[in-house]
Amino acid sequence: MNHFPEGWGRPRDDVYGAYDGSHLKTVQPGAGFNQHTQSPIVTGTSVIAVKYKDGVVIAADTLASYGSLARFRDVERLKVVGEKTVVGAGGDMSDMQYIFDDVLERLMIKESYSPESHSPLLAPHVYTYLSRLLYARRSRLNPLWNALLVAGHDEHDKPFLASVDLLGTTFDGPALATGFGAHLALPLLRKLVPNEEASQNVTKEQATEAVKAAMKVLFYRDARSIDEYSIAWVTPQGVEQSREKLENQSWKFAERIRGYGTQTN
Amino acid sequence: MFRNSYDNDSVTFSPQGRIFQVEYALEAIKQGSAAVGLVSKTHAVLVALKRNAEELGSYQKKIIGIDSHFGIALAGLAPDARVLSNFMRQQAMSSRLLYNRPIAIKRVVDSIAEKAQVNTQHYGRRPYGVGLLVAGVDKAGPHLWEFQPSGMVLEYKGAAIGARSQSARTYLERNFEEFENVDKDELIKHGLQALRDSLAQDKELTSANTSIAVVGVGEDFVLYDGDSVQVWLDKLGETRSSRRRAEEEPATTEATTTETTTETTTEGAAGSSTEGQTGPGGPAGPLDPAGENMDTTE
Amino acid sequence: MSFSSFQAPSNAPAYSFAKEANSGFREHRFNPYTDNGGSILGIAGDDFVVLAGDTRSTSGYNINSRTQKKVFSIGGYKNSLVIATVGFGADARDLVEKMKRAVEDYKFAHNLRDMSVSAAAQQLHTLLYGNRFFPKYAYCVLGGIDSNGKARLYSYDPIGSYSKEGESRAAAGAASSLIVPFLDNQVEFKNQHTREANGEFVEKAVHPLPLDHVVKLVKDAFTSATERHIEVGDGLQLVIVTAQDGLSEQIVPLKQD
Repeated sequence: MNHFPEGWGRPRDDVYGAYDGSHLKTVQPGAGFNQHTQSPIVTGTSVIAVKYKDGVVIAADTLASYGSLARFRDVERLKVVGEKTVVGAGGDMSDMQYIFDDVLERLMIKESYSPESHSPLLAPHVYTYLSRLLYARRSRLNPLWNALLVAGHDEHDKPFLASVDLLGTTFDGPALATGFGAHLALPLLRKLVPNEEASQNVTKEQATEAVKAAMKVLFYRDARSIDEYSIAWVTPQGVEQSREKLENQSWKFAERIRGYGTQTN
Repeated sequence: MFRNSYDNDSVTFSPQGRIFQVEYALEAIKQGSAAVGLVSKTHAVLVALKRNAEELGSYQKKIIGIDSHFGIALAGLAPDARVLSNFMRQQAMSSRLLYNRPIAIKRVVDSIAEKAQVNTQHYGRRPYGVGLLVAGVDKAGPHLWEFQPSGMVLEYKGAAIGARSQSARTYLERNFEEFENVDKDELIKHGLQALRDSLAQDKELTSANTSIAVVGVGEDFVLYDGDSVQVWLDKLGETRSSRRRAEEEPATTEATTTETTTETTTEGAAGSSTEGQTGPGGPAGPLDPAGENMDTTE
Repeated sequence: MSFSSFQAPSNAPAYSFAKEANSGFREHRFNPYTDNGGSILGIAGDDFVVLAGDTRSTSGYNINSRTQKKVFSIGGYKNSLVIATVGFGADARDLVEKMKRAVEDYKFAHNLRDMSVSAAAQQLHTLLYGNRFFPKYAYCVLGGIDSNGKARLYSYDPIGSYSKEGESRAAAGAASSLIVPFLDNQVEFKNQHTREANGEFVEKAVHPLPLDHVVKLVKDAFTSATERHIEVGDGLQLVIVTAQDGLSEQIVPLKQD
């Protein structure tokens, strides 16, 4: 996954060659027809998460960017669904709000007004629902421009963590990251939990430490990030959530960076 | 000749507050052969008597598997049951597809109750002419529900619907306290014992006319039809009704004075109302202590 | 604000953006497809089928998952039907779900009789071709046991064309170009010759291979593909279906680099 949500869902030139758009109609701005999302506008960056012994820890910063402008500095990108599931979203923030405040709210309201099922909607169920939604929307060529992580646990109280993106692509794993996090954070997280078995021996403290370290790296290197983030721990007992601010920042390393801006050598 | 002017549609009450078309639909259930359902702590069982319209014809299907965790037994109009079972399958499948979660039994039963009720409130519609026993297992354990064309659904520990089902019900009423703690084999045996009591005088349970289905906690819905039923009939031993045995071997049989069934050969006449009798699937356990489940005005 | 003139830094992978036109702007269409890499392969013996796939899922140069399976049991006759899919993961998943449901529906509509492997083969074609004008971007291999206890193997392109006669082996996905010639040689004995008594060379006769030999071929095919293709690796999922013993699955580790 690419650092730039603008690039998501687009054919990569190095794979497909440059896109020949010559057959596409020229659209006059303001022509009165319904336009589907062709690119995200206000975007959130990475979401990262790690499974540990008895739960999942998930984090996302609070910035919503408008291109390179840090437009909104306090946007919650983690959503608690029901009592024991957390969904984290990157990508288009209006699509995220639609999913969080409309789709998921509706889902939970419908669930609580239906006859008792004795099997509450857990993370795997919410995840399946979202993945069908995102896939259905991409199939109508009207995608929800997001990458989502769903964290929680299954019926047997086993930690659950899985990902779905704007194309409906699904996968799970002991550590996941979307956006720029897939490049920078995931290698760090995979060092702690290379596989499913490893995650069963990791404590909450270890997992939290790894996630915090990864968030720090992301802040230093991802230009669309901010030094404040939301972090949540999901266990069968429920969700614990807090806000973190990156303290004691040091930009000394920046002096040694060569190749950008004025210091080109 | 008396003519009932309040039974031309399903949306008109009689002055007594009855909807005759709905009551006739309940009568249609009694035209169908018997089906019995019962539950223990771990299993839910359906047994049913199949009928063939004529000697050379095949037997009508009585038990239908819907999903791996539940199925139905029917009494009444089989085509109506098929429509309902198709709908239930859709519901069950969409639950799996959308949520990756097997549908809760009560939810799927409620969904067909809703459909049935709509038919009792729209002009030009006909109530379903079929009663169902829905047996399944969900997160809360095994369940047995009865569905009626009125839109009424009730949960039971044991229930029987269809022709001469009162005899089976009598058996269930006398024995239901045992059901809770018996194993799968015993529960099926109880079901067959209840079912055989609803046999016509000259009939007995055979592998051709008996269907058995069982579903348990951690066990998928299994349907025994045809040859596979014989194993269970062998375990049962006696395949005649207790009434017939009492007549044929009066000395040896224990006195099981089954009250004569309230079975009526209705022609859809208004006179044959269900007044004063416990309707199909009457109370077999304390789940319906008032025994008012037939009262569609409830 | 328009992003159509957006340019990623020069060292990042380039993406296609529409060029700014003089009047109005040229709209760039959302691309509903991606390629999640990986490879699958199937070999039919006399009374068994082996379907295999690696367990890596990729997005460009990223590894999404090291444990994503590509072979799925879909029930059917003697619970022997198996599908392997590769290509765009979301379409592949949807196809498998739809096939599972079709097999289930068939059973319900045919008095609990299980779908045969040839019926499933035609069903898969119908599903794929039904999406002819917005194809499911997934290559499929379908295997199973027929009513005579013989192995059947079918392979499909994304719009559903397949051979009703079936195949003895099939491969698809990222490393298919590496695996197919290997199978040509090792299963169909292409370019293998035997010397006759009169000294003449004739093509080696094709015969169904035994199971243990097939399993070795599959493992070799994937270890080699892992060496030479970046999108293949992590794990090898091997599903074996036999007429006698039904279905079994094993996961063999592959290199994770």
